[in-house]
Amino acid sequence: MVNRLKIERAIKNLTQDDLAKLIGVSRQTINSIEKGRYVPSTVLALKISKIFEKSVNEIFELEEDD
Amino acid sequence: MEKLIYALLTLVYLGVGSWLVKGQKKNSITQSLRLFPYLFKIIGYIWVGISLIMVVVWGLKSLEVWQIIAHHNLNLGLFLLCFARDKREDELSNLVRLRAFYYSVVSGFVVVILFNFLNLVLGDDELSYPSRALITIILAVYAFSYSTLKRKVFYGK
Repeated sequence: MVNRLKIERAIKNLTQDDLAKLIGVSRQTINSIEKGRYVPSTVLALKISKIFEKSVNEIFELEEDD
Repeated sequence: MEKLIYALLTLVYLGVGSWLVKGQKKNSITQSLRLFPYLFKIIGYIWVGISLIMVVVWGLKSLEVWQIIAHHNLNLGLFLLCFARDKREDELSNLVRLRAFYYSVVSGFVVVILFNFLNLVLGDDELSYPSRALITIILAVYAFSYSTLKRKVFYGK
């Protein structure tokens, strides 16, 4: 799974900490998602998509081996 | 004396145990775990430090009852440490906790079986493994696995 979280965050001018506070997780969790070490739950993915006003599919994308 | 220690421990663990599971909806597996406040983690570290000194000092020369007290004291400290929240608890830390519990239970099981096997091989009649030692193994492996896994998933180290 790849994601555009870092890009979307930069567009919205949000730091990892800002985003973490907005969706109620730790900054390290945001970092883990961005680095691809953690795939968020549906609830968290929907919260992220709400913040960036984009669909989940536009932020998260499946890879061929997923 | 030992009966009194275990009676007190039963009350303590029943109290903290029921507090931990209180309010957990039976049908909600996604609900966050109920944990002690973050302050208890710091208290747990201090408690474990003091208990380790007690275990070493009392373990060397005191009566068996004091060794038992020191050991249970260590377990209480580890219990606080293991069941206290992080500064920010979320779904990823819950997932890491689950994995750490998995490792700790498997380790506890293996250690008990291995200990009993070694006792048999070495010709010791005593087969039983003290429950307090099993609790220590489970809690210590949990604490170690949790911090290791957290470092790995959060920082990639």
